[in-house]
Amino acid sequence: MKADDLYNGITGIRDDQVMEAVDAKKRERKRRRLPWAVATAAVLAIVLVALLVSGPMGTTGYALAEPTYPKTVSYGDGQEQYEKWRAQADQRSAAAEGLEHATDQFQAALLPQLLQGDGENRVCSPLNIYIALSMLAETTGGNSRDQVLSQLGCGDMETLRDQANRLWTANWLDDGVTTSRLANSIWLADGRTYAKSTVDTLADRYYAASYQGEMGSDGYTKALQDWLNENTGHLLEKEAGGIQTTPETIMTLASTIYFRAGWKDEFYAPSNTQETFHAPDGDETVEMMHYSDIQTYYRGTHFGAITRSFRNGGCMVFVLPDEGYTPEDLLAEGEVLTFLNQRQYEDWAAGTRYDVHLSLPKFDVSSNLNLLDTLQAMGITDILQPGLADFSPLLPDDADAALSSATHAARVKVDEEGVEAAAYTVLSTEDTAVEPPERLDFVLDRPFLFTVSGATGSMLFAGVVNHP
Amino acid sequence: MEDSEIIVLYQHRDEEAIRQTELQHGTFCRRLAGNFLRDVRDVEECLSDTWLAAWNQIPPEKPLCLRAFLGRITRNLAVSRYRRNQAAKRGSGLEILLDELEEALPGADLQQQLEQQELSRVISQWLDGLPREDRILFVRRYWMGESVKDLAAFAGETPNRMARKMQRLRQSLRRRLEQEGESVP
Repeated sequence: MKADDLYNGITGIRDDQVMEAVDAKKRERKRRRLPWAVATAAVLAIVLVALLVSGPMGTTGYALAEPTYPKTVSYGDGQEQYEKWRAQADQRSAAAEGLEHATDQFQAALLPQLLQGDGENRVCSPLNIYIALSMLAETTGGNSRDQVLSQLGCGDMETLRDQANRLWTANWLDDGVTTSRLANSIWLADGRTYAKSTVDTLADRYYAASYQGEMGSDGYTKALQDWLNENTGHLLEKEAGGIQTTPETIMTLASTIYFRAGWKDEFYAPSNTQETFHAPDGDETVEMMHYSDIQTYYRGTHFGAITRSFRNGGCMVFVLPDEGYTPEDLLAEGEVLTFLNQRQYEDWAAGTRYDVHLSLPKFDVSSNLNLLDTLQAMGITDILQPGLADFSPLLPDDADAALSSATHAARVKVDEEGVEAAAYTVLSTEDTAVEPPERLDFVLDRPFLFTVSGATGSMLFAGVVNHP
Repeated sequence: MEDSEIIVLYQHRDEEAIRQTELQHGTFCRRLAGNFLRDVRDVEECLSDTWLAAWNQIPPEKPLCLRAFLGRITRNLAVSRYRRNQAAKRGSGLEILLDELEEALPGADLQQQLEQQELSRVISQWLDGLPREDRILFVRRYWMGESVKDLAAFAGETPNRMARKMQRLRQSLRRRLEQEGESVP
């Protein structure tokens, strides 16, 4: 056979194979034209904890110190640029080494608490809450600290610091393709005495900015809201608008995460259809996106799951309970938590390759949760009670300080352009000369669970979608 | 205008068909021709030839997918033109003559056509077994003639990695064709 024969043979491949490539090209051009104009799959969350104590307040004043964040090498054309980018990606992987199961225990305790709902959407960021609680542990002592450490699965502060710092490093990324931005801050009240060493530790190990001002003043409250908005891409403006400082507040810790990435393979918008979604309180019409590919379908006792990769790393996992089961049932059973804690989903034994036809509703879900009850349920109780709460590492003169509020707001948006992911993992297969596997329809037309994992495997977000 | 309406215009021998075809598919065909030809004049001439060929072939042809149909014509014409240009560059009078005489050769016989169809079927089947992104990359490289560098940018990989991927795909196709053995020309 000559090359000419082969060339002619390729000429005659089926039309649908040609058009698949043509359409992929169209979508690429659209992406280049509007690189970030459309909020694709953007997810973010904030955690805010505030301490209250009665007493006189001081004057104004804002930034004490602001962190210098590590610079991310941009992902760009050219071998040299790529090598630099790769080296930094390797550093992130190295930071994540040994942390594969560091947050498993915490997530297993947290998710059933936070995702058990009342038929509404529930979204949270386990990583965000983990880091916020780590900072809280820095400011507490005695039994108050021990209770937090126990929930975070750490025996001592140095282990926790190392772990939180490495989680931060492993998940900090802003390379022009994926944005995974974490930020922390501590807001102090004028006229009070703070232990500088604790504020320094927060700055050194958690990249926490520190501010000091007049609690309850419009200017200081606005500064806090602006900080939250800036670090959450302005996607939680409504929730942040409800955050207030009061004259009684003596310290606020704020922690944010903002994540945006594109699907490795985008959905094709013209193929979207209007479909029925069977919500807990009745049917709804939703815009359903469709995508088919040969991929692994995972089975649990009462659920099926698939993953969708982001460009340059990370993935989203969709878990569909079997008919007759709800996301809450799965969380109560626990098996799904073991599955979601996998770092390599391929390790899950019950996985089979199928020609998966995925139907996924576009969704934009958010929730604003009060964490106080959750903390109590998890056994973190002392810090809530004046007299028992021990904040001496930060506030040596305030024996009456206690945690007065803890809120967690999160939002996840998913659409066709989605969140882009690494080409390397999925493209490396050399499946050849095999017949296409059996078809499987994976239709998310009833309440389902999802998680968003970063490139280094951390579970950044988890949620239950009851109303897409 | 929808493709089905354009095809009706062809069937009614309405020259508006050519204008609508250029309007709907001109950019695509121009880009495709540009992947094979560097000279803008060559690209434009290739496009004119494509519209003429479509006019001559529809009817009796009634393409199910007009864009793929036009792309196939553009691709073949662009490659022929490229070969002619190469022959001219080499400056051999004989090569140019032979190239020109090729146009006078009778069309491929039925046996040849069947063999080519069978080969296309095997390649399509092989493509079906690939992950979607590999399939798209292969078609964009070897059907649409895109550069490895462009494909690397599309897939978010380096050109070196993309070149290796293409090599693996070619080897995979070779194994598949070897399995088919004598049944493929």
